[in-house]
Amino acid sequence: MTDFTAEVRGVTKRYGETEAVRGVDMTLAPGECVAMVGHNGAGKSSLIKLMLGLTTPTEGSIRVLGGDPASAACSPIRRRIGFLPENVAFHPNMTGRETLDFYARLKGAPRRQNDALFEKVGLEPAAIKRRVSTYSKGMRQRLALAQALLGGPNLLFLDEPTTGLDPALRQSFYAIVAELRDQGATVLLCSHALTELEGQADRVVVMSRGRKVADGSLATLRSLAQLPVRIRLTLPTGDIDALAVRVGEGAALTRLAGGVVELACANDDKIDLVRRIACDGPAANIAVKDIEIVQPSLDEMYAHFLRREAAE
Amino acid sequence: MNTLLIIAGKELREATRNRWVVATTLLMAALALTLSFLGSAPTGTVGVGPVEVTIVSLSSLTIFLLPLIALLLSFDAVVGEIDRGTMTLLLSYPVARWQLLLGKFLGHAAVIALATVVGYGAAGVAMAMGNTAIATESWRAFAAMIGSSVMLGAAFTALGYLASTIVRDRGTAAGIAVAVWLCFVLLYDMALLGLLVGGSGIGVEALNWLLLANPADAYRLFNLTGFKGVSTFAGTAGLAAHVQLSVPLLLAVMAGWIAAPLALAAALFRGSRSDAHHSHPPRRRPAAVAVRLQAGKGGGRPAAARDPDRRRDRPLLRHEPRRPSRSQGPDPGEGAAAADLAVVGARHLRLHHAAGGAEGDQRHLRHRCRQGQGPHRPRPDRLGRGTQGLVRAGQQASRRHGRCGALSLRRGIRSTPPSPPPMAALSSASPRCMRTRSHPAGRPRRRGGPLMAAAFTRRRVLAIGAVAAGLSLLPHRLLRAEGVPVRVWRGVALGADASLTIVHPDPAEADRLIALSLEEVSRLERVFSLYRADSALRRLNRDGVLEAPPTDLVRLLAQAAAFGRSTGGAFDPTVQPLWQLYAGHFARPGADPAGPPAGAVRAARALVDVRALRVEPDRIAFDRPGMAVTLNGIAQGYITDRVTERLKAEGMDRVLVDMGELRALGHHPSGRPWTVGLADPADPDRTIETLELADGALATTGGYGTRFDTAGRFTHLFRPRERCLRRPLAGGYGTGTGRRDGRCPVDRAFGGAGGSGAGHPRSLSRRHRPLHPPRRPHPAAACLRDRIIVMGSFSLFHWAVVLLVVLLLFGAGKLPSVMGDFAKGIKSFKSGLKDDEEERKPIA
Repeated sequence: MTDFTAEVRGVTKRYGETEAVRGVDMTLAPGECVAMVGHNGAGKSSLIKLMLGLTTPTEGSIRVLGGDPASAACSPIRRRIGFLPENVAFHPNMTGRETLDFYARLKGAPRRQNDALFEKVGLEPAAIKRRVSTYSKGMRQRLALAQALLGGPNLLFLDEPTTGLDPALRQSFYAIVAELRDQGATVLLCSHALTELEGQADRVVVMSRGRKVADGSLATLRSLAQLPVRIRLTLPTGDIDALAVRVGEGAALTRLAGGVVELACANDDKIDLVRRIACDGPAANIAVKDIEIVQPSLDEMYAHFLRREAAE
Repeated sequence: MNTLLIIAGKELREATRNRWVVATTLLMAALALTLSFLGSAPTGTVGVGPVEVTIVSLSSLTIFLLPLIALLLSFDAVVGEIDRGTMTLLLSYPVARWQLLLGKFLGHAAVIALATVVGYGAAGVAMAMGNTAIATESWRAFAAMIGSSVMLGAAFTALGYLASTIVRDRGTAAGIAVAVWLCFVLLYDMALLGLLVGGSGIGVEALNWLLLANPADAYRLFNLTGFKGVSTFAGTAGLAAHVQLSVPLLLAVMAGWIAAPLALAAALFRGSRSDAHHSHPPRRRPAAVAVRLQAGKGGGRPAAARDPDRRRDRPLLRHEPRRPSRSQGPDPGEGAAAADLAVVGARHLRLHHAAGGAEGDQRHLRHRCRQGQGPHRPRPDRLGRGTQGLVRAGQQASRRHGRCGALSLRRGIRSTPPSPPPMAALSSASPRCMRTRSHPAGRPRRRGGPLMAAAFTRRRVLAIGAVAAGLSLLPHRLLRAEGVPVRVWRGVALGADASLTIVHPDPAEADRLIALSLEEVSRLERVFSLYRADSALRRLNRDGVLEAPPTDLVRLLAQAAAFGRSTGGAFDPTVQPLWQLYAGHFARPGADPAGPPAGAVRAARALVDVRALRVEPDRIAFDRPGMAVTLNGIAQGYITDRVTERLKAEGMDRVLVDMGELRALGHHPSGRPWTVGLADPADPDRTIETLELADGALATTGGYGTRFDTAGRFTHLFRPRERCLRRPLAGGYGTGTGRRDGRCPVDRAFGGAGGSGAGHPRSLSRRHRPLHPPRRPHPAAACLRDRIIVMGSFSLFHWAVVLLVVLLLFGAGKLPSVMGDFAKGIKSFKSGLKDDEEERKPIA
């Protein structure tokens, strides 16, 4: 037995000629929220399906919660998995309650908790009684989350969970995810909305064309990517030249709109740079009104890894 | 198990929600009610009750509609869920794929079952509330029909699942579903007919297996041949005898048609998760099913299981073989029962007697001939048809029993006015019908998938239900408006069951006519009856002479004597002393089972001689003392004729008279000839043949009608004289076709009758040239004929309903004006579906 909730070893999945997943190794640990990013067709959903046992790998092995998810005896495993599929669809003629009841019975989860689940995902009691076909996208997504949370899963696959949700809803959505993670569940999030994953994901896996191109915490990835950190300064226009002199060769200077200057430098250099800007030096009259340090975003890192992948 | 129920329950609930259940139930109920009303409207059924009529019509319609509904319901089951995105989520649950498939199937099957049971059950309730008493047997057949309909629906649902699993696109699945429907329901039968017509020489055995290769045919056979009352009406009694497929076997086949596609679908569905994955366990399921199927087929055969079924299959109204009514007070002097010596039918003469060879001691002949007198001389062409029917029946019987042909026709007639007229037999294979049937395939379509769930909207389903409901009222009213109620009287005449069916708009007038007819019957009974002590015949037998005899007696006796002479004594009205001897002998306790002593038989036989009968207009006398005559072989036919003529004189032109023999005027109000079922002599409860009768008559007899001894060796059919002595004709069949002496009267009889349509009796005696036994038709050809009848039982009205439903399903204005090539149709159909697919917005 491993300590991992899910373990993917050298998995390749081919659909005819196309390789959806190519030699991916990945592990998910308990209490971990992993974000899987990648553009469309990068193999994210395929990997999730493999881990769910919906498809079997062409090569490699997958173990989820200590067993083979595609085996005949996977029922106990699947009971402990929650899944929120991309573009979730429900049977339109059933009400919200009936839908959740149906899935709860399939999963063998006590239906008593359904009300609590509805409350948790924020579905109004009035809405529960209506047919799913009358639901808005957000309501359907809430219902989908409720169904994923049935039976308190140990492993949660959320495929593009926040598409179509308004910002407030996203907030509450991530709050729920955080809560689950704190309870020791493993959460695997797939998303395009990279920025919103920041602060949510303990670890990020970058997928591209079926390959895993990067894997690690945001900080690790950052250092791996060696993307420049940006320091934005707001200062009078007259002082810009002085600043340029003071910064010297260590950082690239770009002028932005509204009297903002952006300095890009390596991560390791940023402390030194700030010190140089802030400290009184020989030409002390740089009137910095505001300073903002911008870490490279997931988007940027993602773009970086993709570029690197493409270059290889 | 629990999982299955959860999924099935969800499926059922969903179907309830989107009104599939309501729509199909309404449709079924509407159709069933329509047909049951139609079936019972002309209540002039003899031998077949409204339930049987309804079963035949309903099962014919079910074959067309239920598969369609089942396929529409199921083609979407798997591919649709994948398409809509609900499948992924479902599969991520702790549910095995086969469970998912089976659960959904159970749900859909439940929908079909619910619709069928409720819909058809409604018709059953309606019939139960009707006036006609319905036998338990009929209800059993009805229940079996409902049950097998559910199985048929399930089988096609399973096929729909298979289609749904094989392909990845709903449009294609819809196309396959339509193709499956066309193939199994329409084209398969036509191909089979083509095979038979084309004379490819496939045997009965092969045909049987080919029939089993189609669930719709198994269903058809099960319903139309499994229950006798039904087969009588459906005209498939002969088929039932040919097709050696037992009820359990047919059921097993249908079960196999449910299990096999489902198992295959499950295997495919299971395999679909790993496209080219080798470590996956091999797909064993289909093999397992094959084994199961075989077991099922093997198990379906035991004869012991079959026979009780046969026994059970009694018709609800059966025309009993003529049996003297014991309650009428037997006259010890003349035997306990009527000397049912020979019967001359209304316009036919039947001879039961063999003048033939020494070993041909059990014969029983029949011949139809013109009566040769009276103003209503039937035209030969009118009789031809029935005669051929007789010949045919004889041939069939002979084929089955390995005996000579002719004599299998026995007493025991079921006359059945058919109710929805069957489609003219062969026309069902005609190009016209081909066109009709091929509509769905032939339509090149661009507005897209008729069978798409998207196109198959709730509104359309409801529209279908509404129209069907409306239809259920329409024909009924039309029928009423046409004013063709049928009045039926049933009772006893001359000691045998009798009935009178009169088509008349005014029930009161019909009742008057019935009363009139019965008056005539009772008047003639006073002349001919051997039961009534005051009858003219009894007085003649008592006194040996009768002065100033009634005209009817003179006429009939003269005629009987003429027949006697012309047949060389084969038919002899003076056979009564023999009857008395045998009846008296066997009435004694401990009677010798070998029959009366030879001396007594000789003595009695000496009194049998038609030449010793003097019939003058004013006096009838016997030449020898002790002689006696009986008219029980001919009087019923005479009475039937008299009653018919009486009714004709009253202006009636659509009448079916059964006063022991049958005579029909005109057609049944439905426009189809009256139909008559013939009992199997070996087993009078079975119908071996159904004949059509229009402006014609039919007479039959059978030794089983009256048996002296328990073994049935001695019956009311006697050999009046000469060499053949010893004992009367035994029960069982006559034999004799193509006997070595070539003098078999049977052959002559059939040769004469079949050839000329209505041969005069005298031609019989003149004909000494040996005739060949009737040629046996190729068994497959006979099956074909029966099969056409089966298909033919699908009436024009049925077609109208099917066409309407198809029209509604596929959308009006889409049916192509010209019949296109089938493949082309499918092709364009598919491309049409694809277009539609693109337009379709994702659901949910």
